[in-house]
Amino acid sequence: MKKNKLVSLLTRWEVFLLVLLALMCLVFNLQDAARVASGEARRDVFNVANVVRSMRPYMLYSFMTLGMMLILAMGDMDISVGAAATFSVVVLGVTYNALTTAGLLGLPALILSLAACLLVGALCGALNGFLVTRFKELFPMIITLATQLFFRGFSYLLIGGQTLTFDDETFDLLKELNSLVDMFGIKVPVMLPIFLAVALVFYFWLHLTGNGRKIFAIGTNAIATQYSGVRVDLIKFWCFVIAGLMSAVTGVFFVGATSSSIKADIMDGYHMYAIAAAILGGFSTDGGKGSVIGVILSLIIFAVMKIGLGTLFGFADSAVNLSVGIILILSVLLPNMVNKLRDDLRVRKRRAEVSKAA
Amino acid sequence: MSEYLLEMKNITKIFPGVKALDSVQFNLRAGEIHALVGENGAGKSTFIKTLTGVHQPDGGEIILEGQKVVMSDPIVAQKYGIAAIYQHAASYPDLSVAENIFIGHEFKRGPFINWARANREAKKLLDAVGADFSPTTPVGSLSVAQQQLVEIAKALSMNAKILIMDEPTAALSKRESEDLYDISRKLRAQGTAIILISHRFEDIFGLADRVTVFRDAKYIGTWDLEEVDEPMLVHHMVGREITQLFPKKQIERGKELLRIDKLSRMGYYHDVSMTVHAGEIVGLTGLVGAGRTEVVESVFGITKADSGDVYFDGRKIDDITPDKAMAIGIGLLPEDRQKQGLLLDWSINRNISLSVLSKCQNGPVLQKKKEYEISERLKQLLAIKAPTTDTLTSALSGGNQQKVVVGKQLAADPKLIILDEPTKGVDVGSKAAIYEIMNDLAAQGMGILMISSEMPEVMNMSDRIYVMSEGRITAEFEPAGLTQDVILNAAMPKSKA
Amino acid sequence: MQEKRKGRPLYALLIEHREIPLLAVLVLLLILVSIRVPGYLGANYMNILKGGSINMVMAAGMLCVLLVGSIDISVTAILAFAGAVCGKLMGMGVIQSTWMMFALGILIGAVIGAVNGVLMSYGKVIAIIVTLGTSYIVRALIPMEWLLGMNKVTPTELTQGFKDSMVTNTFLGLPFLVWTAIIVTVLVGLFLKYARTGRNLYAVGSNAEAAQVRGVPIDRIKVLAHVICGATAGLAGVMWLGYYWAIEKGSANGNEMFTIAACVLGGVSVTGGYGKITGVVIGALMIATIDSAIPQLQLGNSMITEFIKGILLLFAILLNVILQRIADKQALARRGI
Repeated sequence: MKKNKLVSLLTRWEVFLLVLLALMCLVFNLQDAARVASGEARRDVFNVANVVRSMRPYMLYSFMTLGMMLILAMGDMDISVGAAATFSVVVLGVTYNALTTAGLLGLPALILSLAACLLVGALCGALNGFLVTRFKELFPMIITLATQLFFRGFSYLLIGGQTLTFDDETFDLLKELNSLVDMFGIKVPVMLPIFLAVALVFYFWLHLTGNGRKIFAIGTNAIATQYSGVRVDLIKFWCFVIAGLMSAVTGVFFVGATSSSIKADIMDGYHMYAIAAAILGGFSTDGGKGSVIGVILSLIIFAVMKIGLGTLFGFADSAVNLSVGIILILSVLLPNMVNKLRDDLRVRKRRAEVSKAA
Repeated sequence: MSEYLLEMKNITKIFPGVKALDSVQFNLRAGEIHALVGENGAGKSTFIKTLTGVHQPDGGEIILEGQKVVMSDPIVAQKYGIAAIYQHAASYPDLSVAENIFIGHEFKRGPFINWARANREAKKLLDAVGADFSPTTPVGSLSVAQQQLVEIAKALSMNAKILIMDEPTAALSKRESEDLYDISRKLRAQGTAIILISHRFEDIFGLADRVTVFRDAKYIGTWDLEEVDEPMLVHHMVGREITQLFPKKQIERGKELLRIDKLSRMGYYHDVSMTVHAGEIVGLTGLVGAGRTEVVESVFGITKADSGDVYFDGRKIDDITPDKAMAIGIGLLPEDRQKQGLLLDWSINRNISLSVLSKCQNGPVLQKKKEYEISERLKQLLAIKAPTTDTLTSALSGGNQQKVVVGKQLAADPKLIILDEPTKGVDVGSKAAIYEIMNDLAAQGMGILMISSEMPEVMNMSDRIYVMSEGRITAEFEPAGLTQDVILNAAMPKSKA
Repeated sequence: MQEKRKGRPLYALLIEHREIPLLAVLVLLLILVSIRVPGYLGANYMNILKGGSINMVMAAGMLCVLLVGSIDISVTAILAFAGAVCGKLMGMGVIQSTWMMFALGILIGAVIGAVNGVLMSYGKVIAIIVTLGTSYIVRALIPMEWLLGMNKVTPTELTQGFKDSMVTNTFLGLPFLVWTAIIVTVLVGLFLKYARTGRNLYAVGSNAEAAQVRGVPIDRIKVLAHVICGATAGLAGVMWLGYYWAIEKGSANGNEMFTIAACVLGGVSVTGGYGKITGVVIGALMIATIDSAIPQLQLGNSMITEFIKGILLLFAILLNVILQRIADKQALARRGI
């Protein structure tokens, strides 16, 4: 039995990701050293400081990924998160403008606007959750496809094709969210510690509490979970609400990164990044599996690939996307192949026994 | 040429984890109806699938009209003149009747399918089987019996030499069954050989010429129908005397636990009233589709009843949901163990603890030690055969899976446990064990409501029996002196019989 | 039988022909716009058709994968890739003829579709993950230096003949772009209705287990569906190039949702087994019409289009469910229990 536990530990997706990460680090380090030795580069580029720094773009959708994790763990899909994020920040901008016009200036206006933004994100999620639990005949993917267009429509309705720009000190505080701070002697994106703190909460929730266990149970078999006395619809609803809330959070960070300008299509298509990051982290659209650690690892892998493939090997950004695509498919293909092989071996063994007996 | 149309010798089939067929034999004469019987999991379905080319056998040979043949896929089997009517999952609900009949051997005009001709020919076939619906109807909108007729029409359309019927009457009323018998006899007279798989002894004794028994993936024997009677067949099927199976104990009946009062739900059941007392095992029987499952699902809160009341432990319960039901002490073992009862990818431990997670928590945090305490205790109590509680439930036999589902309910300490077909697809050994468990639970003062279609089980395990037909309670019996015929009579739909 | 058919309630008819309500809305919309904007249905509507035909071609392919219960979100990535490769080859002088462009586009799309299909049916990878993966891969390949280095295809790289072929040249008053869409949808429609293999797509999606016991080669059928879908997406890439005269790595990004939306609007079931080409055509026309018609109505904010599109799709899919529920309830009531 000890052996079995070891095998199941080693075949965990997080372990695969760790190995992948280690291999990449090894290759990139060698390349780095070679470049320095040959005089091609003056200093090494592949180091912790640079990796941490280049995590910044991936931190942008990391919060959305946390929300997507919940949805995927339940075996559902939410492709409206990008549109919900956009809608939320559009509301943020519009509210802020309205408040300042009405004479409320400074921090209170910003806080109220942020509250409105988060509220709208949660409401978007609530609409999804409501529809998903009330119209079980429809795939969540189709429902959220419709709500995606719906939320997008709202954004356009509010600000049309214009770009909202803000040129005041208070609103510029949001830019700070995209800045780097000195920590442990290196420059760390502000988003990173915030993300890690939130991820820790999600880790605790998903992997250590009974409620988290129920979320995975829903993804494994929602019907049997309902028969076990779990309030499936209620949990689903709240997970969608939280996914919506996380989208709004992502939106706020995004405004910081885009120098406080807001357009009605700024986060179109962002759901794809979130889905890809969550799947790379070991979640599946089939539900019932995945871990927060895997998601964190996959975000680190993105950053490492960016430096490694981009700076060291001189490939364009596309190389990163290419690798993401390949790993995405492998993340499901490999475990399937291993399982199939195991089954084949078992059948062959039994066949051999049978023919021996005969 | 041999006397047999078809001979299947030493057929063996292995799946990952199980040997589904262990060197079984079967032969078939032209123009006979040959019944194939055995308990669930005996290997009948797998056997049929090796004959129809869905599965490839790992050993043995198939000899058709003296020639050794290989059924490499279902198309090949069809070309050899083998047609099958499957119990489930055989029709395409979104496609029309005509298309369901002719799919795979369509009428063509050039490269195109000739729909007009298909509809005409389908109409003829439907008339031949006595069906009165249009060939253009989508099959999904037909009743189960009507779908069965489509299946038969399909088999006729292929001019099959060998026709396999897998539980053809399972969902049919008496009248519809009679019609099916007539069609079968007509086909036999025309020289078609029929393999009949059925659980209903009246099918077998009314229709078949010979019978072959499988048990636990092995061949037991073949007999002429004149040589055998019902008890003998049962004996061959289960491999031991049936009386041993039911260790029914007399238990003092306690206070009333559950009272259902005039419960109705449109389209499913109407005006259902019944009671269950502490220490009592109440049987609820009837044909598949009579509304039994739907009633208990409403009691457990999976679906809502339209009208009527449910009282539990003397109190009226409103707006029931599964979590509330479990909290007040009602447990339900659902009908479909694999879909509703278990999370197959999860271990025994996690399956059992899922229904009582709040008991295993310290604040919001799960305490793995408590989980294992509960699951280990139940594994011992129910004698679940598995190396550890970390074993995945998908790796367990049907009987042990069922015990895990029972364990899930017991973990919540219910006062009343509802068992929906508790021994469906369970081997004989586990059956006896499950009956033993039921007795013990009743002896501890638990009330048990058991839904079952298996007459011996209903008659031998119950203290009282309710019969449902077409959504209504049609009879209530005490088991003493009761015969199977009386129950079946009450279970038969009156409107069609 | 005939009497029964006549006596059938409206909702039953609507469920069997899910495209009818949609068609009604489409016609209503067109009438409304025609009243507000005289002459809209003339030259103006031609523009709609042109814009809509690319989505319609992809939707025809999407119908095939949805029928087998699969999905393909890589169609627009395939569009961009096939368009970019074809455009670059034309720029390099390798291809001159429009027909060769078509053939190559279809071929490239079919190959990528085949990869999707094989990974999905033989590798048992969930369709949405496979196609998400391939869309990353395919889009990433477009600007790669070692592969043609075709970050962008610009109008100067295309021959005048090709540029004229799609929009300028017409036959019976319709531009080639629209003819391509008509031909593709008719072919897919004929294939689905009258070819045995086409019917097998329905069979696999309607009940895979039944298809298996009846010897339908499920895996091959699923691969075929993805090949068709890929091929239409590749073709759409060439059409895109002919319409916009340019393509780049981000072209049509996100538009796959409108392709799926056209199918869903047209009543195609995403669980497989049900869907008609007529519905898909109407669905695609609907989206194209809203895109162009709503601004014409001048309802103030020009961006209200997006809003109405969202509401309409949400409404359409919910309506389907509600109609089905009414029908189910009636069926239950008929059981007389």
